[in-house]
Amino acid sequence: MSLGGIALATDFALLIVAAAVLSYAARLTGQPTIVAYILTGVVVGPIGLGIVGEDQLIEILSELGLGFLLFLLGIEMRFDDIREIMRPVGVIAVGQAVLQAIASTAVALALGFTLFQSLMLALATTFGATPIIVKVLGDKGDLKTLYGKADVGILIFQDIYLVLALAILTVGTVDDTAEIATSIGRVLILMVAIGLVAYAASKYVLPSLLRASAANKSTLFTVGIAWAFVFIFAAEALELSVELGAFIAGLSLAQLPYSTELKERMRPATNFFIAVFFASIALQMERGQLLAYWQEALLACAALLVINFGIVFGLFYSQRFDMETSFLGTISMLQVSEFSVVLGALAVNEGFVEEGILGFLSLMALVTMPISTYYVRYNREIFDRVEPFLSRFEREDTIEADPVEYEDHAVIVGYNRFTAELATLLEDAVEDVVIVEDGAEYVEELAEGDHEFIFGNARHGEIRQEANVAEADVLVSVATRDDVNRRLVEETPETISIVRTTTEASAQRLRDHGADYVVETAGLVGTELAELLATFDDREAFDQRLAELSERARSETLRANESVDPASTSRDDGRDRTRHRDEERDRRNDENGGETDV
Amino acid sequence: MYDVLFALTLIFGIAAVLLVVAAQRSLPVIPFYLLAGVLVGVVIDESQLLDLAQWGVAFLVFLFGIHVDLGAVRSTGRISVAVSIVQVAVVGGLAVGAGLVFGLDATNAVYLGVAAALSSSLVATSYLDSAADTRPTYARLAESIHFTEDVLGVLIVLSLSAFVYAATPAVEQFAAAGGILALALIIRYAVFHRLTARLRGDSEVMMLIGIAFVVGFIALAEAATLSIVVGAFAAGIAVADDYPHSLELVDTVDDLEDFFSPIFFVTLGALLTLPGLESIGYTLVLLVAIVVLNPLLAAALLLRTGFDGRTAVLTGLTLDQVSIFSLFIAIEALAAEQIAAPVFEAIILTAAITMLLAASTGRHAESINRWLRERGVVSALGESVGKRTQVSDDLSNHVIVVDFEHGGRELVDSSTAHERERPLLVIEDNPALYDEIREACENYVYGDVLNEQVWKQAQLEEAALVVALTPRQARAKAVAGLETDVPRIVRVDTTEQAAECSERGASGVIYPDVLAAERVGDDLVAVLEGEISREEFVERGHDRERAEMGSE
Repeated sequence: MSLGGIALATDFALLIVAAAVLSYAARLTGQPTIVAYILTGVVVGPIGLGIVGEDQLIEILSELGLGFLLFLLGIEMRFDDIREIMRPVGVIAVGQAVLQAIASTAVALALGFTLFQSLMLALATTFGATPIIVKVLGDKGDLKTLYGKADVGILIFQDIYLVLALAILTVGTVDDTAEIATSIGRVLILMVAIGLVAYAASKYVLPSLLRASAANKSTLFTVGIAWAFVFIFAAEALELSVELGAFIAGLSLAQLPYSTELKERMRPATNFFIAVFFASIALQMERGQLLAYWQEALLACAALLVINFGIVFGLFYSQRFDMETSFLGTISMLQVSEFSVVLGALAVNEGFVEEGILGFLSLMALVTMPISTYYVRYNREIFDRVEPFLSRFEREDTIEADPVEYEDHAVIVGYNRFTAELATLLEDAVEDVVIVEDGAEYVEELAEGDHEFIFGNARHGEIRQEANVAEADVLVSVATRDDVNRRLVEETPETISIVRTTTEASAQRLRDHGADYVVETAGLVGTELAELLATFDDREAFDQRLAELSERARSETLRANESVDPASTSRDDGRDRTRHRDEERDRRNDENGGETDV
Repeated sequence: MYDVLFALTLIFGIAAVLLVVAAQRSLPVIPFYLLAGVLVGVVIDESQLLDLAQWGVAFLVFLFGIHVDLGAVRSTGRISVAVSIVQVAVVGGLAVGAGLVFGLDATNAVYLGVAAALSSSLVATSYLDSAADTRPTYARLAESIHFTEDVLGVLIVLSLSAFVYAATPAVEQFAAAGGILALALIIRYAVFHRLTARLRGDSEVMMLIGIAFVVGFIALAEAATLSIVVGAFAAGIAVADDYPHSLELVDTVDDLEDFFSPIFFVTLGALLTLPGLESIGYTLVLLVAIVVLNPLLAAALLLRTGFDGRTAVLTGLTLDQVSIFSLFIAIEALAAEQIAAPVFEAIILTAAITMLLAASTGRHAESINRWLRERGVVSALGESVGKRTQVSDDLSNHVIVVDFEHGGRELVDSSTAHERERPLLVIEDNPALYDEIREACENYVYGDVLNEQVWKQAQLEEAALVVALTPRQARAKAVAGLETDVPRIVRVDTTEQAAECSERGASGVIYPDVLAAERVGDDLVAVLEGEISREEFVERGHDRERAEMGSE
């Protein structure tokens, strides 16, 4: 047995260091990291410096990365989020898939690809790039807007379509039509079977399994990973796509309360492995292959932007979305997705197409992804330019959708007697009281309680976003970690924030970073007792106060609700600002003679 | 691919099942991983997992390096550094001697000695892990002792790769290691913050930079033919564990570690074979050293330095497991083909046994302490009572305050500020607070509330009131249950505890959560109803704070 060097001059180590350097550069220039990862493979692989070839570890991790990515995609599939606009979004997604496939096939044929290649390209290029759309819109805070939700909805439909495409691609090359039909039939039957197993598990096994594992931080994670691996392995053993198994595994966890926490815990490993995956794509490619069709790729990019804009915008408009939503929703979707590359890579592996086609797809992704981050980021500015031309087509009966996120709410991080008492006090003053807690022992109590409940640790940005911490009216945190409290108060400058901490030093730090009200337990207890002792010589007063304190400590019931008049609730500035923006938009729409959707 | 996938599925599948069991019983996870490894080892070829397992070692050590807080060690750790060095030297020396008697060669005797001597925070944190403020003195002490032993572990790894595995002279190796660590320190203080400031919280890129650090430093270590442990440790030193990196970098690496470390432990378990008589013999030697010698020696040393009996025994009891560094050392020695199979097996076996045992001794530490005290072991080890105590002879009608740190300080300050006449007496068991207490109070007793002697010194029978502010349940209960007519007020943290303490005889209980809710609640209702502005609300929070500090 020998351990060998794991870092020195191994291909894997070089790949990671190069990816870190390039993604750092990408971050500084505002580019998506995926572009940096793909470029990493180009730079260190045979196309560029030629210092890294494929090795076993890279292969394992990239395969795992893809599996985990699909697993997370499955976990994210929460149908509740898009229920209200399910129908129009479904129409857009299906319409887009069909029309875009036809258009892409036509373009590819016109560029001189064979019919089979063209169909393959059409299959691969219909997706929007989830990481880019979700990341850039998330950074802009637009995910919960109407157009953001519509885009996320379309992406969910595309995911289903992607999974089917992956499943069918794994059938492999067969010549006989009957054989293809049997293979596809077999795939579909096995998929349904796995799906049924997963569904049954999510109903009967997973809730109690995860409840039991949520007691320990490593256990939830390991159980999640094991769950993913069981399905990944089952899919591999049944000669189905690994990605499909992972996706179904994720889907079966999606509707459970633990999903967000689990997803956030798995994200680092996924990010790490998926970086390896994207970087490894170009490792199998020669320069000639990447650039085999470079002219065609550039032409196709231009055609894709123009034609797809027309298709998607038309579909949005036909589904009675207003002009702004249609426009913003459309331009976010205009790029070649990482899944195009995934499908391309799989198609190459299965022998459907040659490496050149993968090069073509990678090149398109490399070109359209960076460009699209700019037009997604500046989408409103672009819209303001073109609005005069579009506004005359504005309809009157546009779709409206209520935001699914919390508003006028209070966020409580950590559940204990202190926060429970405050939650009762807050009940009438705010719309919702959202409790964020990751202790397994409270799950049942909180899930059935009167307040909203998010299972998870506030250290994750995603959890804070789900609770919409930044726009809460009131924040109460009893998080044990100082850095989590600091992040919370820094994210809530406009919010009334109450934080409990244990030392005077950290209390001072939190106050410096914007906490309104810091409760320091030791000091509180000390002062209370000092006050109590001051009455020690007046035995009656002392005994009465002590009895009162003891009674309250022993009683399970919370202090009687003191009702708060919601009308006089102080409005925080953040919301006022939002309202301003809305009013401004109303006015703008009025000036343009259109109706508002808000 | 199929084989690796099969192995990983099996590893995580079995690990998940065992972990759920462990979590239900609040047991440590590592023994279960090792057990999973024994099961998995039957069906898979573990050699294909060695690469992934090494990444597990790398991430474990990297995280340890990140959490190294040099400032904290300097301020509190002098006693613990001395205690752990003496303990490691004595127990290690004895075990090396035993190994030689058993007929092992010098190298293998050293492996045995290292395994016997070192304990590790990476294992112990699982049960020492509680909110910092409720952490009692013994836990803090244990933490810094473990930390010292982990650093000794890194040094031993370094020395082994310098003296045993390397062909080149040792001095150069140490110079190389010194150079790598110096580079890490330069990066930490001069480069790191500049590098990350421009990322503005992108945890994805932060994580990659962290991993690139690990890879880079390990490459440097390998280039100098040093162990990857040294490289990963240096990489951890290079990363500053401060805000916001603790959230964006350290937490993400922590999650990654959760993926790789099971692979390491399971692979280690898979390397085990059925132990023979020889392995069982070494295992017994290790068990005696770790379970009996380590705790007793550490407790005796702590008593000599002035700690009270209970703190000393409880701290000693946290040292009764094999260090994770011994496992790293074992697997590296196995790879270098330097370790005899029975020694290797004994180390892994002892690791599994002692880690489970440690969970149980940790849980029953109080009763073990009582048992040892009843049999006179604690006084035999050298407990001294009455040091660091000052009580005026005519003290009577006084208030006894237990625990200076959790409110006692404020109580004393406020009493001094108001020139109250009733005398106070403080009981505290943390020697680090001794100077401050001497400054602030006229009467104080150093010692533990579970020790009757302490109450005698505090002149309990003359007192008017006892106030226990300690957040530790066991001590609050002990105060509530004192056999005396003096009224007692104790702090509680749950409703059940409140009922229990009242039942035991406390005349009153204080529940900080309820107090806080009462105070904050009034102000919060006022601001929400518009009675006061937000500025006034903030002002009130400050006023309360100032009042609490006793400087009104």
